Amino acid sequence: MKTFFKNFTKNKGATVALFLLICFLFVAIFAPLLAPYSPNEIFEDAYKLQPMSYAANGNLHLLGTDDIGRDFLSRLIYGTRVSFGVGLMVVVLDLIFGLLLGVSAGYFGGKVDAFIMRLVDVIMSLPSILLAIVIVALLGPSLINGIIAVSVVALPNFIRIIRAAVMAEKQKSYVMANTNFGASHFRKAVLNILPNCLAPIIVQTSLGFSDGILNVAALGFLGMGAQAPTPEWGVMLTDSKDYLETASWLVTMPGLCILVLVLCFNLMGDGLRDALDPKLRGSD
Amino acid sequence: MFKLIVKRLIASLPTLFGVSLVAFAFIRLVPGDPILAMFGERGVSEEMYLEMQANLGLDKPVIQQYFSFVGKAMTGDFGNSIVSREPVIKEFFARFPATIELGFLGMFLAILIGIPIGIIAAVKRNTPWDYTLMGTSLVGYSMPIFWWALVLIMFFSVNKGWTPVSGRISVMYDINRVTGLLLIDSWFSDEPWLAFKSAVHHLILPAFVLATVPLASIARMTRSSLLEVLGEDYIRTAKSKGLTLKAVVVIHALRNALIPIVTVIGLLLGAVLTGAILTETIFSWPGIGRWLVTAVEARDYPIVQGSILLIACVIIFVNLMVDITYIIVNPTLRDSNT
Repeated sequence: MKTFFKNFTKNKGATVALFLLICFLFVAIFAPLLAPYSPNEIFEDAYKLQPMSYAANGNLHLLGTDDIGRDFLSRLIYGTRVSFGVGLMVVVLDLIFGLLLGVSAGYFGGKVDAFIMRLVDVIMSLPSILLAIVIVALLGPSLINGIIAVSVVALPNFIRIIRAAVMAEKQKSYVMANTNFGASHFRKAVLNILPNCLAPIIVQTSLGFSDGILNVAALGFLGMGAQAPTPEWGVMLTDSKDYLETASWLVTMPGLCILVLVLCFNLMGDGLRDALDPKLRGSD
Repeated sequence: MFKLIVKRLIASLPTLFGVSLVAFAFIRLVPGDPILAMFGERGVSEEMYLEMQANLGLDKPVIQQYFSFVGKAMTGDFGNSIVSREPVIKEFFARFPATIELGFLGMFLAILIGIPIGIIAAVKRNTPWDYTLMGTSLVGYSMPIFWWALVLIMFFSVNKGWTPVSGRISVMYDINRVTGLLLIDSWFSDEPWLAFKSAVHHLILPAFVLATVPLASIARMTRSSLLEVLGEDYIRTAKSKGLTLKAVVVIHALRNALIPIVTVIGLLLGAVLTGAILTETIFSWPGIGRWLVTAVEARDYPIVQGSILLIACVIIFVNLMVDITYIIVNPTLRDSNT
C-alpha cells in the first residue's frame, strides 16, 4: 500500500488529477450549497446574459445565463452531480456484470468461456455509440436508459480484462493447492483468485468512469440520453449550440467541464496502471 | 498463411450469426406492438398495418421469420424504409461513400500525424517534448468530439470564415456521382479544380474532428510500442555498429514497433464509425451516421435493423483485413503453418 502510494504520487499528472477529482466530487456532493441559484429557476428578462453581469433586478450571474434565463453556473454545478452519478452508475453496473461474466469465463473456461466471448464479440462488432443508440431506441430516451445502454456497450472491456486476469491467476500453484484441499469453485474463484486480480480491475474502473461519462454525454447531445431540463452537460451543449455566434460561453463551458473530468479519470487510470502493474513498475 | 486466413474467416462466422440474431431481435423487442410504435402519432390504416406486417415478416412463426430474414438479407433485401419507402440497402449505399470518404481521410490524418508524434515522444523520452506531446495526446484522447467540433466550427467557420459549416460540396458545382466519393467525382465536373477545392474545403474540418481521438490513440501506442522495441538487444547492436539514431529508429525499430500499431489501427475502426455518427450529425454530413440518427428519431426501424447488420458486416470484414495485414507484417505468423 505504501509503495503503491509512493509510486502513484511520483506521477505528477495523476496526483493533480486525483486532487481535481476530489474537488469535482466535493462540488457534486455539495451542489445545493455551492450553486447560487436553483438550476432550473428561470429569470425573466435575463436571457443570455454575459458572464460576470448583473441582471436588471441586481442578481449577479457569474457565468451569465442561458437562452431561457437560467443561471449558467448553477446548471454547471448541478451538471457535475449528474456526470459523476452517471459515471458511478455505469461503473457499478459494469463491475457487477463484468465480474459475474468475466470470472465465469476465466475460471470455468471451455464452453462457458466460448459462449461469453462470442457475446463479447457481437457487442464489439458494433460501434459503441451505434449500439447505445439502438438500445436507447428500444428502451426510449432517458438518462437511466442512456446509462443502461452505455453500460452494455462498455461491458466487453470489463469482461475481457477480468477474464484475462483470472485466467492468468488460475494457473498458479496456490490455486492448485486449494483444489487438492477440496475447496469449492466459489471459494477458489471469489476468495482466492479474485483478490489477486484487483489491480487491472481498479485501472479499468477509472477508465470506465471516463468512458461512461463521455458516452452518456454524447447520447445527451444526440437527444437520446438525459432530457431537458436536466442540467446534464451534453444536453446543455445541444441546447446552446445554436448560439455559437451570440453566446459562445454557453458552448465552451459545458464541453470544457466534460473534457476536464474525463481527462482527470484518464490521467488517474494511467497513474494507477503505472503504480499497480508490476510489469510496468520501474520501467519509466 | 493461407490456412491461417481461412481459420480467421471461419472464426468470424459465429459473430456474424450473433449479430444477425441481434438485428433480428431488434424489431421484436420494441415494447408494445412495433408497427404501432413505428407509426406513432401518425396513425396507421388496417391495410398499411397488414402490409407492414408482411414486409417485416411478423405474421409467421418466429423460427421461420428468422430464416426468411437471414435469407432475404443474404440477397441484399433489408426491407423498405418507412419514411422514404425506398429499399434500405439502396439508401445505405447512397450514403456509404460519404462516410467512407470522411472516415478514410480522418484515419489518414490520424496515422500521418499520430505516428510521427509517437516517434518523437519515444526518441525524446522524458524531455519536455515527450511531456508536451503525450499530454496533448491524452487531452485529445479524452476529447468529447461533439464539443470539439463546435469549438472548431466557432473558430474556423464562424470567426475566420475559412471553412464552410456543413455539407459536402458547394451547391454551385454539378457533380455526376460516379464513385460517390466527391474527391474523385469532382475531377469529372465542368470545373474540376474548383470543385475539388470546394470538396476538400468541406471535408477538412470534419475529417480533423474525426481524426482527433484515433490520432491520440495512435500516438500513445506508437510511443509505448517503440519504447519497448528500443530496449531490445538488437537495437543496442545496431547502435554500437555506429548507425545514426535516425537509421536505428527508421530501419530497425519502427518495423517491429509497427505490429501492435497495426492492431490498434484496426481496433480504431469502430471508434471512427462512432465518431462518424457524432461528426456527421454536427456537420450535416450526408453519411450513414446522420442517416441512422435521423432514422432512430423517426422510428424508422427497418433502417435501424438493416444498418446494424450492414455496419457489423463492414466492421467484421475490416477486422479480417487487419488480421490478414497482421499476418503479412509479422513474419513469425507468416511462415508458420498453423
